[in-house]
Amino acid sequence: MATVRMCNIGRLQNVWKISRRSSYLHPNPERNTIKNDDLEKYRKSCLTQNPEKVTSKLPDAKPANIEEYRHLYPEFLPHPNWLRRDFLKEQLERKDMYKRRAILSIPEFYVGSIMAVTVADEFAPNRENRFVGICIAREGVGLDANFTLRNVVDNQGIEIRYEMYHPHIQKIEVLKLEKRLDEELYYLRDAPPEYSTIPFDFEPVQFAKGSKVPVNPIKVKLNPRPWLQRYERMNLKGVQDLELPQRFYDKAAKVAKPWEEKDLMKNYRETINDDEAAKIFHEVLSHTLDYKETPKKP
Amino acid sequence: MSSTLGHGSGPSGRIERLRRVVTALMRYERLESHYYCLDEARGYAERIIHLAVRNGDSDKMTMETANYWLLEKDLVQKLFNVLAPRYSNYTTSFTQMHVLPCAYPGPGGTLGILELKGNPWPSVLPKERNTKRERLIYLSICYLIVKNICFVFFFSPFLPFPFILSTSCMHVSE
Amino acid sequence: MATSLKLSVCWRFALPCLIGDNFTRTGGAFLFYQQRRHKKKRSNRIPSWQVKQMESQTETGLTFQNEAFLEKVIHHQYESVLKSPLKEEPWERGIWTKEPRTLRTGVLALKLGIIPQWTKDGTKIYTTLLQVLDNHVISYKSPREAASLVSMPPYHSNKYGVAVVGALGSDPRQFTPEYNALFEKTGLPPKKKLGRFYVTPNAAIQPGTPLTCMHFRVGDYVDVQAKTIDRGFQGVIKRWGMKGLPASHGVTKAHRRMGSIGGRPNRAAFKKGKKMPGHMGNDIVMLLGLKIWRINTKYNILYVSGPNVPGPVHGFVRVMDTGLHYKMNIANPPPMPTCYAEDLPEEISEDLFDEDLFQFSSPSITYSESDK
Repeated sequence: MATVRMCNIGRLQNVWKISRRSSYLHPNPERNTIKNDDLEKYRKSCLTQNPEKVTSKLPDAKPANIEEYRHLYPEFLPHPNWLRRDFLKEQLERKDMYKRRAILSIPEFYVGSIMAVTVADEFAPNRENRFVGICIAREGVGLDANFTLRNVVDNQGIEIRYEMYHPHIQKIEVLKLEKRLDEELYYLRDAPPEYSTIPFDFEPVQFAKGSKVPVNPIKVKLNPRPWLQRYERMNLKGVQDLELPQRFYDKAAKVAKPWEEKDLMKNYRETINDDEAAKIFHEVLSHTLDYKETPKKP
Repeated sequence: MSSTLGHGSGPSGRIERLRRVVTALMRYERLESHYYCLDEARGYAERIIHLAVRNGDSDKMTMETANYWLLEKDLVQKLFNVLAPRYSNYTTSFTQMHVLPCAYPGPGGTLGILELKGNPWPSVLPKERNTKRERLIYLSICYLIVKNICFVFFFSPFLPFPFILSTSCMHVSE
Repeated sequence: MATSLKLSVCWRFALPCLIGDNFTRTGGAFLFYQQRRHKKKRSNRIPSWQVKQMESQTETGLTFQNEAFLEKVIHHQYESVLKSPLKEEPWERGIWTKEPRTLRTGVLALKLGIIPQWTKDGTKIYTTLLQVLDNHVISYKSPREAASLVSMPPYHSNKYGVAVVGALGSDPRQFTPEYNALFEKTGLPPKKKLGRFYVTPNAAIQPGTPLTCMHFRVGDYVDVQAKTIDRGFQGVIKRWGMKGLPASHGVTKAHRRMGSIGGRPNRAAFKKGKKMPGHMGNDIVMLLGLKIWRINTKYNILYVSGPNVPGPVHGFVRVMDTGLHYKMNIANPPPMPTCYAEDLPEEISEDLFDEDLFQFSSPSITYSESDK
């Protein structure tokens, strides 16, 4: 295949720009690959042995609040890179996820929620290990979905990344459902331990079903520098005034890219568009229960 | 920042240039410029219109985006009051691109046209002629004439009649 | 990756050498054998024997109704063949043997992507999905017939036959008449992608036989061959994994460079085959001994271990039985020459799992008190 370079032209799909250097000898340099749209046509064409009767396209649907579902079920949306996408692979991955969710109930949670995870551990006394912590990050697409819990145990900060679909996980409980002002709470590593300490016998806080998820407006005071990251460049809302010398803010302004949040096409290319997201969430809802339930007391 | 905002004006210059193109498109509804410049701006124009159609002017985020991208503020009103209703039932794209012929002699860059669909200007492309249908009409008229004159054996598709029928055929071919 | 030994003669005063056996002295000159490693198998040249595939597309000017009618006609032409592709009686089925070696045909699959799976003891494994899309055997040549082929290397002639397998039946109008003529014998719709496999006579397979994912079984090991992603001209760090030089401590303009290329005895002639920047990718690479963890019979998908199958997503891949002796299944040999429809039970479940693979429909893994 010829060298591929991404063209930053404002199109809805990524464009393959072929470098002529290594492919000038062959008139059809892309003969080893098929484009996504052509592949879908081939799979359904009558000239194949077993055309797919069940379409890999999802029925048209428009659930009301797509933005909400983007936060509820973020791992069901595929990776937005068009070159890596295949509808059939995504469908099969979602099937596996539904099967796992039928056995392990994964509740609704957000970054900032306090959670407890019970994991099968071969070497623990009860063959089980329970960890309580505050969720500081939530990443991953498909079966690779994971979240990180942070706690401070015996003056030692501990973070554990749990894979949501790992077969060892016995139970995921949300002890306190709430959101924070930021999407990621990595700054807790540079904050005093009080902000990350959660007792292991934390009592679950009742959450009324159907009501809006509360936002914790807490502003964390960070330890004195040095820090692990350059927080002045990050536009953090959940952190108190950093009290840095002016040169830090000047450099941050110099290095900042304020046009990126206004760049419509860049944002469009980096997310799954609403029409497709709506179809996927429609399928998800029909397979999974509605997890806006009150957390149960042990 | 330079007035042309080409190479060398940086990523912020690129966004400035695109803003100007999108603003101009909303105002004049047809632009003629370098093809790739228009092609790049096309996605942004479509995106703005799509947001306006879907969310309307009551949505804060949409209004902020429109306010940022349209440099002339009367166009924000036009977007929500004129363009959004026009495109509310569209299933295709809202814009169209054409490639202009290469201007020779000249610098040689590809020129193009970017236009909003449903604009008030005459169409860029000529109307398609349905020559088969024209021929059928032509033949039927000839047959009637010949029938009336009773010279049926001169009936042939290659009669040397002048093409006074061309205008009427153009209307019928729609 | 073939290595070739290069014989070099150097007319120089012979110095005491540190290389040892690689040297032999003859008078004033010395001979040394230089190993030429990492020889690339990249080629974009069109082989002389290859038939031109694509017809240049021109606008047909057909109406929608005419297009639809033509599609119906084409479909009607191939309908009966697709239902029962074999024209003659099926050939006699051979027996799989390890000595002498048996080579069955392989299969042309499409790389769909990467999915993680878990084993029953909780280990995470990344698996690549390979979809066997509409494969049929197009032609088979016995070793004697294949020996006369231009593209047959001499070390394979008269030992192996050749089977050409095609993937993705398509509209014949997009191909040249010469290419379509290749499929006249079987009567199948012309395939978009063709691939060749060496086949021993006991695995002789009849042209027209459909190949599905059931050609392999769960727990089998396969070799997977494809062209890698073309990365263009790359530097030494990405291409060969060298470390470069430190980012600071006085290093000037050499953070991603090779550094030294040789020592004093080889001042004028550093070693042939020295790893340097150059073109990377677009090479044919074969991964050996990949395990099949799971098969999806509905969509003909193999879940093959590892995230590193060469090539991009939606790239074609040749899949064949493994050549590694220690991974061949002698006790339970694979179906010869392939798995026919009548070999399978009437009702087969959509997903077939390896016994070590965790199935998502089963409960979470737990360890009981007695486990130690």
